[in-house]
Amino acid sequence: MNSTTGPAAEPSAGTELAGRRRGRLWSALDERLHIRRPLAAVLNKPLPESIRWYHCFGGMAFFAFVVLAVTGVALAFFYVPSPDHARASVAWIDGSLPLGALLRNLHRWSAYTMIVLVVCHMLRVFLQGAYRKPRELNWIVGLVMLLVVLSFAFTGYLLPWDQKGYWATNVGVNIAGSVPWLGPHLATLLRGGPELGALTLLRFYAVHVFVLPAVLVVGLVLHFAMVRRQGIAEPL
Amino acid sequence: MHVVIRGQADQAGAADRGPADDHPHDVLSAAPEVRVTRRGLLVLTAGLAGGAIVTALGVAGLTPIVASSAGARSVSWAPVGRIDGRTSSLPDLSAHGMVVAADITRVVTDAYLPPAKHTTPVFVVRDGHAGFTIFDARCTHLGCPLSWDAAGQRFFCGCHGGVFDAAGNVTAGPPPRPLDRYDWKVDGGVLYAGALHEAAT
Repeated sequence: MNSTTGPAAEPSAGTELAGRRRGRLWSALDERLHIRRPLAAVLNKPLPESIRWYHCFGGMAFFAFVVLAVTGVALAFFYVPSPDHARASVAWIDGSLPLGALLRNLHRWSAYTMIVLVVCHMLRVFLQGAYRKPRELNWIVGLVMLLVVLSFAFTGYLLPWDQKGYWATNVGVNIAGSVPWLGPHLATLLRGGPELGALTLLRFYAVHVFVLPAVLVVGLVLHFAMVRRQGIAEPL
Repeated sequence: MHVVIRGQADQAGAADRGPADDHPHDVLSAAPEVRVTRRGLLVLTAGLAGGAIVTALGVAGLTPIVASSAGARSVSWAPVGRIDGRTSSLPDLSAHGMVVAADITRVVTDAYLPPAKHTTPVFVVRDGHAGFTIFDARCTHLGCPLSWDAAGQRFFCGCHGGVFDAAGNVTAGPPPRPLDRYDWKVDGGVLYAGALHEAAT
């Protein structure tokens, strides 16, 4: 990369990365859309000296989310959110689909990993006091996204429609049902009726693949935009 | 190949670079020089790692979708009808020179579904004492179902007006080739259908 650019043609540090020769296509795109400078500004953002490995937890959690999104879309080609087919379709993914077991386990282990990374990220922000003014809003967005991630885990756990997922969801819904006043209504809404059944599976699926990803993407955009605006907090 | 590591010079800024840094001369070798900056190396490494990750994710995501699409059509022998005139649940194919609508029923395993009977409509013609033709009942144009017009002695497709004669040859409309046919065999007074073959255009 950049093996032909001589020192005399070296652009300034701010545009160096994106400003290199990338061939005619890149030049033609930039000529029309003027993306070279803004892209360079994004990619060449200077970081403070105090950055350490533990500042990477958030980015790693985001990477886990990317893996989950890709494998989740692929799984949606084969999974059926219906009580009479869910178990069989998951067993078929595991046993008969080429690389299906890999696909499903990538999704599963990325999910576990994401929870761990999200908690590590939150602990780092908490222990370093990075949530303090002026970053309170981003802390709150992060807390909302923590709930979203845990909701991903809760809804995804039911989808294989096995004994473990079924009874874990029963327990979870009953916990929600123990909320004073609202509890019984909340549990009924979660289940889609008085008993855990077809509507429960279908609404957990819809929340898992449509609602939560949309909410999380909005949260991520806000989260990243605020980090860029405010910079990374200096340690205490 | 002459490699110049310029990481420190990059950090210090262009103003601190000496002229010797900008124009290093290698008097021993005339080979073209390759400049590797710290930033360039990091970008290259990140790019390679990112490419590897995207490739791995792509393989894991796309292989199941592509590979599961490559299943073969079932070629097991399936009963079509009785040819000896005896009464059974199968259609009677004892008459000669008649076009008879029948069904091929096979047990098909469709992905995660339990094995289930799958029925395909066909037309059977008994050409002689030992000869049969089993036509696929779908138009060779775009796969619409055909109907047998006994009065006109022709197969007709309602979708785009494709017409075939009793021998399966195209007589009108857009179909590109004659009707497709199944392999056939007779065993114990029963006609069986085998693999489906595309007719030559």
